Amino acid sequence: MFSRLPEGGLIDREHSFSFTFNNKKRIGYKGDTLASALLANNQLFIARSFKYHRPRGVFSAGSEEPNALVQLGRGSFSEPNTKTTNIELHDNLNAKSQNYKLSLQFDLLEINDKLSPFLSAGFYYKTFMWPKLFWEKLYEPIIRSSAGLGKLSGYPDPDNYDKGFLHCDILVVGGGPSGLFSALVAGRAGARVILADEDFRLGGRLNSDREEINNQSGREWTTQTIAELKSLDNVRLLPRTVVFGNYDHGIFGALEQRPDALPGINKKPKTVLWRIYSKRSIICTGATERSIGFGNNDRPGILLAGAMRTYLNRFAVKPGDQVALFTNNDSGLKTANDLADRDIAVTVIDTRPNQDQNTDNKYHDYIAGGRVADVRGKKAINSIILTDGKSIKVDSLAVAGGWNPNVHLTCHKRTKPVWNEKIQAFVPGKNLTDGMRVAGSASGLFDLSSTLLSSISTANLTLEDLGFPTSQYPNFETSAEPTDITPFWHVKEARSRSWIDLQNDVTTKDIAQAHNEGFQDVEHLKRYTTLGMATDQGRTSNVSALAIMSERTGKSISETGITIFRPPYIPIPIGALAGRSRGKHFRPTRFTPSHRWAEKQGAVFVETGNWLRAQWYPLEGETHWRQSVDREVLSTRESVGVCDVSTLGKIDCQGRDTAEFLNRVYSNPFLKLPVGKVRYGLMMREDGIVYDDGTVARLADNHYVITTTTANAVLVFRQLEFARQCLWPQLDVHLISTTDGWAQFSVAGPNSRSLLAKIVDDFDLSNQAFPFMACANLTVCGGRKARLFRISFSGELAYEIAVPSRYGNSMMKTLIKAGQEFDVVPYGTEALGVMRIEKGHFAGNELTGQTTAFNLGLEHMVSKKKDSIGNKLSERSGLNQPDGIRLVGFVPVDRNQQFNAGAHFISRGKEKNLENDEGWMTSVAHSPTMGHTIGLGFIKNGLNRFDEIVHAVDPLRGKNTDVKICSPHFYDPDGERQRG
Amino acid sequence: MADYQLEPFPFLWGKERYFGDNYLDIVSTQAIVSIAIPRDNEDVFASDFTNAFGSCPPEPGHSVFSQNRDFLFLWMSPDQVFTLFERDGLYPELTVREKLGNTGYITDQTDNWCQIRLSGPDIFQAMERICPLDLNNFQVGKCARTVMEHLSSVLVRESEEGFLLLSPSSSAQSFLEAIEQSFFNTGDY
Repeated sequence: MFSRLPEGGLIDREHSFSFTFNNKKRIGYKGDTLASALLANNQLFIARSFKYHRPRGVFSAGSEEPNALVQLGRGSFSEPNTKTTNIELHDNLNAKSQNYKLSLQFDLLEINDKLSPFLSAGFYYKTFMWPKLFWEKLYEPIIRSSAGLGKLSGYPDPDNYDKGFLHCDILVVGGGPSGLFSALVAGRAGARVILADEDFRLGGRLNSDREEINNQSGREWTTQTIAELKSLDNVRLLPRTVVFGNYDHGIFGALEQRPDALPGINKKPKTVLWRIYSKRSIICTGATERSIGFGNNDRPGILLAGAMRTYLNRFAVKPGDQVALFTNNDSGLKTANDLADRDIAVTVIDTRPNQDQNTDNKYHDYIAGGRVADVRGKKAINSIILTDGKSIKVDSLAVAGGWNPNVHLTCHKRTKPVWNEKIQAFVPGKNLTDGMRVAGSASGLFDLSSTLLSSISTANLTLEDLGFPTSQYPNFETSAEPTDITPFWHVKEARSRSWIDLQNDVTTKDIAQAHNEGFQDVEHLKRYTTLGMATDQGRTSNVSALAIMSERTGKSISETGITIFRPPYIPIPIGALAGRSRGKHFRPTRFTPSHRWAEKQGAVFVETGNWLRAQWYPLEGETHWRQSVDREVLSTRESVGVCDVSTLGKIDCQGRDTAEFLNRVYSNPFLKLPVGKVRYGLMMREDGIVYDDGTVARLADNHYVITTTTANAVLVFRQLEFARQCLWPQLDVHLISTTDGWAQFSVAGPNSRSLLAKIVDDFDLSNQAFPFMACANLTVCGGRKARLFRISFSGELAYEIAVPSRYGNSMMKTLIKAGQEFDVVPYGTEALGVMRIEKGHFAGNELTGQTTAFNLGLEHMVSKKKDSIGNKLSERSGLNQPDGIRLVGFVPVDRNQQFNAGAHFISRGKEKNLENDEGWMTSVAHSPTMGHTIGLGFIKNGLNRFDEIVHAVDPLRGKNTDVKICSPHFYDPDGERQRG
Repeated sequence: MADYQLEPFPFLWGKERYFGDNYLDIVSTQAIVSIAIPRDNEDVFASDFTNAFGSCPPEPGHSVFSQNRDFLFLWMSPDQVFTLFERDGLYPELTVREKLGNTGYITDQTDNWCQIRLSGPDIFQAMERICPLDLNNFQVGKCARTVMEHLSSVLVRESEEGFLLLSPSSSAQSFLEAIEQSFFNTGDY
């Protein structure tokens, strides 16, 4: 049985933790992972496998773990598919097994294992075909309920996450011996270095092995090196941080697990997703051990040899009294040696004949040229059977099939790894991008001395690139470390299934089947068998699988190739990708200057882009929004209303050539706009489609203020900057946004002039002195600077008054107070919309990115006496057909009927289908002024069809209304009120 | 003359606070005026600027004080400079115009921006959660435009442990919350 050794290891025995696994209390120590603590508690059976629900236990000691995945945490904090090998143990940790029906010990779905002949690779491509009806009612529900490993909690994730940005000269990925020393060489030279490693303890293999460096133990060397790195201000160490992706221009994605996060207690972010900007990178990601295929090689108690060494040396976990090692290489013998030194009886089964390294009899037995054919023990291994039939009693089995350099980050930008015969593994390809270099085991150097030497040369080359001084270092004295390997991928004599991909339950037979059925390319093999998918991405299985495929195809492994590695290197939780972007941090909120006042009035707000605008202002007794909106419209039309229109884009435009510039960007003329006047302007895209509309006020000879629609404020500014900088850089024109700088209020209605007269300072508002489309700088309320524009969106006598934003809230209050004698009302965006539809003004609903000036009835505004953006292409005949769609008004034939925007127009007597579709309704409102529903819309040849009755067909809502075509100007079509 | 008075309402009034040894200050008395440099008159502008303020216009990516340190200038783009100074009246643009004469196109930007001053030893670790710039390479006197939490921002390194931040006034609350959250996420405040 597995147990904790009485001493040794890098665990803090003074600091014990109590944790629960499957509701049973266990004890571990600070420095343990969940996997090591479970093994120390002799908990070998941890999870059920994905497809066949076979018992599984810990297989590795890192993020390559395919088996020992658990559901971590309780309730809404629960997180599925977490690797026990990566979880840093802490007090009160709670974990549960996953992927079973009933209990871990008695899993109903274990029947899948009995049915395995029917469930081989690609079975789902060949089954569930009949009867057809069963798919939706039976097959799919069963598959869905069985699929997956862990389960999401079903609640919103209560954990917090964050993101951040880091910069460095050199990013060192990996904190093993080569990573630590590369960082030290670079750090000593003065480069800004970030070193990231996924483990919570830096040191990599030096924490697990017993090698010496310069007559020091590897651990002492690690401690000293880390201490020096910590003393350097220019070095930043990031333990618990996985660099998961290599992106363009030296940018890397990394996920840091934060140790200070206490879920449910302190709300600190659980992870930080870093974007690391590096000038150069050194990849020291080490290597991952692979297994050997033999019968039942997935049973709990079978571990990779390197992992067993880690549990023994780092976590002081004894893997039983009798242990077998099955190896094809020298590195496996290190595990055997370490076990033997702890007085554990080790039987070595070495696939290599003529090897007998038991000269000093330290092993219990050494079987050269031996092969393990099968194992006994379902929930924990108890013996192994060799191909010659010999049975050996064991508590555990270590398997050493060779090492694969972790080349993933070198491949993310499509550099292909290359096969290295000597080490029987893929190593990073040449021509790495963005100054990336690879050192240590990741480059295929497996002995410690070569690893450290490579880190010096790599760091020096990188420093040289960046102009930092380089230094020479003496050679390292390290323990001798043979690394010979003879390829051996699977035991052909095995009669039971031999597992290659433990996470996806892919066996050697599945690979053979894929081969037989023609799925021989590695990418096909992957997709047909699911090999190499899911949380471990096949890190212990990919190379073995393609080696087995290459045996069958007769091609070399090099010719067979390997699947493409893409980011992320490990699974990244969705929460980590979202970071803090949830709730109020999801996106910024923009408040209007009068927001606080509106809030106090009980206004109902609506999001318009990022803005929060008052939609209407309900009064006591009003129970329906229509009551409020109708009242606001009628009061405005009868007396006066005030609306905060600060959200409209405002662009200050100055320069000697501004008039010429405006003349080129607007389709209508602007050269002769006098100072003190405002002009409505239409802006087109280059293709002649209408882009935006707004007003331009000329405040001085070379000073104009442009207004845009709220929605297009940023786009128009961007478009104008493009025109200024790229199209006509010779013009002296300067733009700056003043949208946030001015609080602007529409004061509309017959009493608007009288109201404004109470707040302006000595300013003549008469029609003669300040007529329609006039503008001026002035002061209000005793000397506060302001701007006044005589423009109208409502169709009433109206003004827009602007003051610096910090006075906006006060201005709103003042206008309402001063207007009491006129029964002034504040009105929101709904009333604003109703009045603009009554007046026949188009807005965002009509500016769809497909409509032209012709469609909108504004073809007269596209001047033919000058050029402007979009002018030429607006003349395309297809855009100007006489029977093209035109903006018109619509009223219900039966005035009591209502209709909706989105309805399509079909002529009476015609079938209601797309072929007969003549246009669509764009904007609809109940008009309190007219007393019925009104609408704006586009219909073919609309201007020549006034009084014709058509069907407004609304199949989505199941409505069909007869409507009459009319002028879009329902209210004051001659504009007498706004000029009054 | 009208009978009514308008009262100012600062965008982040009353939001100053400490995070341990770090201080977040809301700056509400400083005017911001943009100065655009007329095309083809750059030399004249530079000369007039130097005569007016006793210092040269700022170099790209930098800020510079006037000789009397009463005006701070930020390089914003090849033809635009921001100047920041203590507000002394209702028309800050006129203050600049009086100093500069007829050179340059001037726009009052005071109310377009909220201004937040951060100081303290831990501001870097808080800022690296939202600011994509390399702050360790952002020496005193540097300034840059960037985006933080989707919001346009201007960053000025005022001292070894101090930044001035500008962000649009309409979204000032969101900007402040982003900074506060960063402090919370990086320390025990």
